[in-house]
Amino acid sequence: MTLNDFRTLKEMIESKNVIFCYNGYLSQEIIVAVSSMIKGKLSADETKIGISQKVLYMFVEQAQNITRYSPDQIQHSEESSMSYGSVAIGTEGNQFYIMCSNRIEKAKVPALQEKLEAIAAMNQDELKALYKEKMRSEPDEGSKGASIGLIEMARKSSEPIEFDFLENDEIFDCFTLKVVI
Amino acid sequence: MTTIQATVTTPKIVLDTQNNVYSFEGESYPEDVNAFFDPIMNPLKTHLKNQNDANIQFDFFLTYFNSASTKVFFNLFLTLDKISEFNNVVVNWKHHEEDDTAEEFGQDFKEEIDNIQFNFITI
Repeated sequence: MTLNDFRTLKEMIESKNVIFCYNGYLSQEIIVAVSSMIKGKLSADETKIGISQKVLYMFVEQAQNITRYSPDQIQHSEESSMSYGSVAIGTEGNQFYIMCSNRIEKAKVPALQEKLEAIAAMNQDELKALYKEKMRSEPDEGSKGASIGLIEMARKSSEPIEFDFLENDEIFDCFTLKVVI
Repeated sequence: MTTIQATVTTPKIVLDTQNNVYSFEGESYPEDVNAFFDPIMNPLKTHLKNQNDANIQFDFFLTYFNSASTKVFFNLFLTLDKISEFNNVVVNWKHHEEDDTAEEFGQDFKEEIDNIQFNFITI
């Protein structure tokens, strides 16, 4: 990367009103540190608590999804691992956007895609019903979380969640998700 | 009485099994929710199920928690709902006045349980 390349990258990021943008290995420690930064920044901007709590929620869910599910994971000690992915938080008009991206095994794409398409098409009442059904049931197969994070993000998002899966190589696709508050 | 001090990603937990007063206060988004909560919740649920004709109080003041923690608390509420048939169970759900996110989580929990007195307290 040349100085110019880096400047172009920085200018691109800044033009999107980015508060935070990260591309690299994410760990729980980094999630904690960034959460603290988000709280401090939004509090300084006098963002309403209800809004800043939602931004924080979206960020932690997305970042913990990367640490749990990104296939690009390094176990650097017995208890700690870190996973490669991208997260961005910024503003568009009077809304916040929170986005994430990571690679995903092609074999896992149809199940996630189906789940997300169903969630994206639901209204608030349907989302709430599904959320409650999931709360009472066991986690989905292969899910390390409560399998309700995606539903909860859709409930809190002020617009339908956006996502896509793009070809990465023969084994992986690139998964990207955006929510807006 | 058992007190578990808060960490940046786990709440302060006070378990007063003698008086049946319990509190969870702070943030909850540990990397491995089950590894943190199972050793706390499993004996707690066993204790609660053995109560009869008792006054049981739970205070929650959770400023932030992730989806996996939500499920842990929901499961606790299901236990509380069950034991409320034989006990007097009160839940105090505290939240900052402007924190409608925490309030909504409390509402979701409240809607799923029938027999518990569920109080919303703004701070």
